[in-house]
Amino acid sequence: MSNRPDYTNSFTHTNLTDTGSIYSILQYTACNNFSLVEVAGYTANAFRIIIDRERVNVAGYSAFEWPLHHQEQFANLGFQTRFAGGPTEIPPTPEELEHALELVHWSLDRGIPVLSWDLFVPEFGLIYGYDDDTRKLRCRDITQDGELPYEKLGRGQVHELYVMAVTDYKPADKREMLRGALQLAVRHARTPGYKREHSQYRNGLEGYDAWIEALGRGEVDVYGNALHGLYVYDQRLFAAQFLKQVAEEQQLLQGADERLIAAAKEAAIHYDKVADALAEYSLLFPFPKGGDPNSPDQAEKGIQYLSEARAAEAKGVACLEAMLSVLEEQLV
Amino acid sequence: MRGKADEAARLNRSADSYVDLSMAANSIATENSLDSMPEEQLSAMAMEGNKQAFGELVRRNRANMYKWARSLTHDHHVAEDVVQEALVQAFLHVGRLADHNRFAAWLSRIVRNQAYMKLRRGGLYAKEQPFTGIAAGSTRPGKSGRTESANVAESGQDIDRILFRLSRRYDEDAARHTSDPAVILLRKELADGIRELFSCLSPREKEIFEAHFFRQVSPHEIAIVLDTSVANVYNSISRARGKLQRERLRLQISMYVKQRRNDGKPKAKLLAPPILYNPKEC
Repeated sequence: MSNRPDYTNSFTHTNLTDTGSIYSILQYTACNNFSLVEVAGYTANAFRIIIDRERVNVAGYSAFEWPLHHQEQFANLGFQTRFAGGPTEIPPTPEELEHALELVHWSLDRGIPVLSWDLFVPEFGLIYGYDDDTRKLRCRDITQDGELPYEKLGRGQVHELYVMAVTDYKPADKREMLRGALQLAVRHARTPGYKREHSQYRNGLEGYDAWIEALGRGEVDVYGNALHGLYVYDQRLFAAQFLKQVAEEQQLLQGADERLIAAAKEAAIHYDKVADALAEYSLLFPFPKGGDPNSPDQAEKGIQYLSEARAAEAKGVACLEAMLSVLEEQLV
Repeated sequence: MRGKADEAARLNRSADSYVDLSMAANSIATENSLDSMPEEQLSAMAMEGNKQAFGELVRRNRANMYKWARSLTHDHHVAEDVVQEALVQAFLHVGRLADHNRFAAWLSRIVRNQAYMKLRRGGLYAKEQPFTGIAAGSTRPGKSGRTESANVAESGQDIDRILFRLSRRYDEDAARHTSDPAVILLRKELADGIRELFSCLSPREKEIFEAHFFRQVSPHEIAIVLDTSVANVYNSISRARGKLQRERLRLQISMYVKQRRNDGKPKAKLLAPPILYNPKEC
């Protein structure tokens, strides 16, 4: 515990930019009482890990079908969504750009920013204003707040367009939200994501295996390796905190199920261990310089930390499954 | 036949209205004489620039075009796109139709090329489209197979001629029809916009672009005629394409913004800054 750098600023900041952006969007809606920890938990983003098995390249964290996952995550929070584009690696046609701008205008006119991608850097961010006279969008991502010409949307550092707006909101029951989040988390831990079998990316527990193997071959990308150390560490801090809060909340409920509370508490302990191991990992390979992960000494140490993290996470996932089966019993 | 063609015309999507050929087809409704004219004669008139004749040819062939496209693409929407693209190509090229006995065959070849193009680009999932659909064709319209590079030198004016014809057509339509003036104005602006779009190219770029994309002359042939290297031609094509794509984006946005204004939508909006990420965190 003592060796943990606090990059989250006591759980008010996250490097996971889709979590941060979703959290920001909620502030403009009737669903504005969730903490960042709850958003990280109920979207299951705190439980994710996606790793490039070849070189642990920088693209792992975003190598998923954004619209599909964000739609599921918003749905679990009670929101319907509309979107344009996705991870296509192709710049939008003029018609596609216009379609996306329509969605942006529509959402902003009703007072809610939209989730987008690669506004200033290839990370998720928000569009929260527009001006038809200057033809510029007002945007914010983790690196910058500023203006973006309409025609640059989808033509940033990488060429792909993505915008998602929330439409309807129906407050969701918290137990159902918990069940939904656990389903997303367990599925992510156990089974390859959409179209991922045929890609170079691995998710969940296989993600750790892929990471360990790449490190063992001495071929990892220094920057990508450090970045994923930082990101997954950040995520597991939120995972452990979320599970502690779930246990506490459940204890306050009348007729709470002891099995659920016990499993949540135990899961929190395991995810804390994951976070501890990843804290060591990210100190060994500090972002952004990244240390020397391809030297045999450091690689060996790195593999040791990742193996600890993986073992703890495997136990954590088993606890999530135990929680899930209790909830499924209750919520038939 | 008439009913079918109307149905096909209705299927034309409004996004493609800058080549809304169904309008030309409708405008001939009053001119019964075209109805009974043989295709050969209509082709000859269309080649001379008679748009009503062209409209009649489209009316007669559109259902078949859709059928061909559908049989090649197996998808309604893709087939409709193919037909639209093919109509644009046909409209732009009709002046160069080599043999006016073979309008239908020529049209079917254009449909087929467009369909293959779409399929090559990944069909439904194709994203990027150059201004005209034809990007990589080595097949050329014209059954005689004569090399068309001989005409390259005059090709720069070709675009101007086509665009002039387009925008004049909208003027005439505007005068003839009493439909929504806002729509007609928008169309006219779009046609002028396309002209403006091409004006961003230098005369030489225009020449090469026109030859390559509209008449599908290979870069190698262009290089011979213009006495330059093939690499130069490729550079020129790619530069012209980039410029046109940027211009087209700008144009699309400007139409869109204008439409919002016409609809009385708000001009600007600025919400409170998001809670994450504060610039100081960055």
